[in-house]
Order: sequence, then structure tokens, then C-alpha cells
Amino acid sequence: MTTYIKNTKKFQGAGKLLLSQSPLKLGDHCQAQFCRSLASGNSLEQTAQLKARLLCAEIVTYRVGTDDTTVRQIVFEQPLETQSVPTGTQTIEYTATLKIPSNATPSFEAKHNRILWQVEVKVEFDPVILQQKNTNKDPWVEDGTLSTFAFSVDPEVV
Amino acid sequence: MISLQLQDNILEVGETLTGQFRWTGTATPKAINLRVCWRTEGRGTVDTEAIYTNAFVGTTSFTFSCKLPPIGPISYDGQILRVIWEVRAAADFPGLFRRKEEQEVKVFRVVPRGA
Repeated sequence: MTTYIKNTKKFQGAGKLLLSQSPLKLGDHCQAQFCRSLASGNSLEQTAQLKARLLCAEIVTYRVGTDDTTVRQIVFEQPLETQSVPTGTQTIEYTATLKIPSNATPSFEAKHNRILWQVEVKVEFDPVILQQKNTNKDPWVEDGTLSTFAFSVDPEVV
Repeated sequence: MISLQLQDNILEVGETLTGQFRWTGTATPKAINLRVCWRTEGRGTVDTEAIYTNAFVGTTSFTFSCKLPPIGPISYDGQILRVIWEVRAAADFPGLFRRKEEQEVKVFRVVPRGA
């Protein structure tokens, strides 16, 4: 447990995701390159798994009293390839192919309503430690090891 | 009453919407207000945007057209969000309460290019 917490604090920002093509269209596919560095002088002290998923979500905001509430509903989810990250790594790099289904919906952006395409990349450490610490917990919850990137999908089918 | 007809009920983004309205009431309205817009429905606060508005004065029949935005949005029927495109024609009689038949709404679908 101690090692897990120590590792999450070592990252330098959420990292970067580079797409080989942008904006994407419906039916398109492209290469996504993820890169996330650890803070200067740090390296992974244990093997980690890099998990990623492609998402499309409806995100809506509404007012309850004086507060704005935002709800996210995932309408498309595709797991991407899992990759192992060896001990001693200083910069985590990951490449995956993104495929946007031709019958999916394109991005949409209004003041209170959005359709957002995202890639989420998660660094997961020793599964034994995670099981002890996060029983019944959503593995994609934001805890410092999750990086989220949004990109645009145009209303055109290739 | 107002009758509203659209040439096509399904259009791709960037295409031109063409339609016609006709007023057949006994009184002549001050104007016929036409609005082409999208609006959201669902759990979130409503968003709406008009891409074409016009007030037709001194005419009871007119063929209109407007170009849909190439970037959408497309019509969408999701889980907590819907996007609806519509044309609304309303007869304007100042000083009177509007009756239901003084307004006509037609819904049409906008789909991605090449769909």
C-alpha cells in the first residue's frame, strides 16, 4: 500500500496524448501516443500495468437550487490494449490504435450539454495492493494515476 | 392557420434546408416569424441556437431556404441528451393572445455527411 501511494505522487502532470490525425471523422482510425514522465530523478519502483479506454460520453449540466450539477453518461466504451511498464521506467510511453465506429455520434458542444470523445489512460500498480486498498472501487476513478484527454470527432463518415 | 412544408425531412450537415409556409387564416397577420433552430432535451439545462430567423411582412406565402452548419450538430437521441432540429413558423398578431393554430412546428433530422 505504501509503495502505491508513493508512486502516484511521483508523476509530473497528466502527461500528453498525441493523435496521428485530428480532427477525426466517424469511421476513422488513428494512432494515439501517450507519454507521461515521472518527476525528475524518480523512476517506478515496481512493475505497473498501463490500461486505456476510448470513451464517448454525454455530459450535461443542470441547476438544483443554486448549485450546478454535472452528470456524465458513457454511451460508448472500448478497452484499448494493456501494456506492461517495467520497474525503473522514468517516462511511460504507450501507443494504441483508436477506431471511431462509423455509426457513433460526433462531438457536440453547447453551454450545458456536450458529447465528448475521450481517451483515458490509467497506470495501475501491483494488483494485490490495489485489491486490498480499493475493494469494489471503480478502477477508472481519478486518483492521480488517471490521465484523461478529449478530442474532436467531426460529423462526417469516411 | 399556418401550414409548413419541408422539401426534405432528412438532411446532411452543410446541406440547404428548403421549405414553404402558407397562411390561410381570415385575418392578415402583421408578420410571419420563421425560425430554424436546434435545441436540446433531456436531463441538462436546455441549450438552443437559431441558425435562421426572419420576419415576413406583407406576405402570406413564401419559400425559404437556409444552409445548415457544416459542423452540426446532428440530430441525436441519446440516454440523457437529445438534440432536435426544427422549423417554427408563427403568425404575429400584436395585442392578442396567440392561439395554438397560429404556430406550426416541423421537426427534421440532420445526419452526418456521408451517412
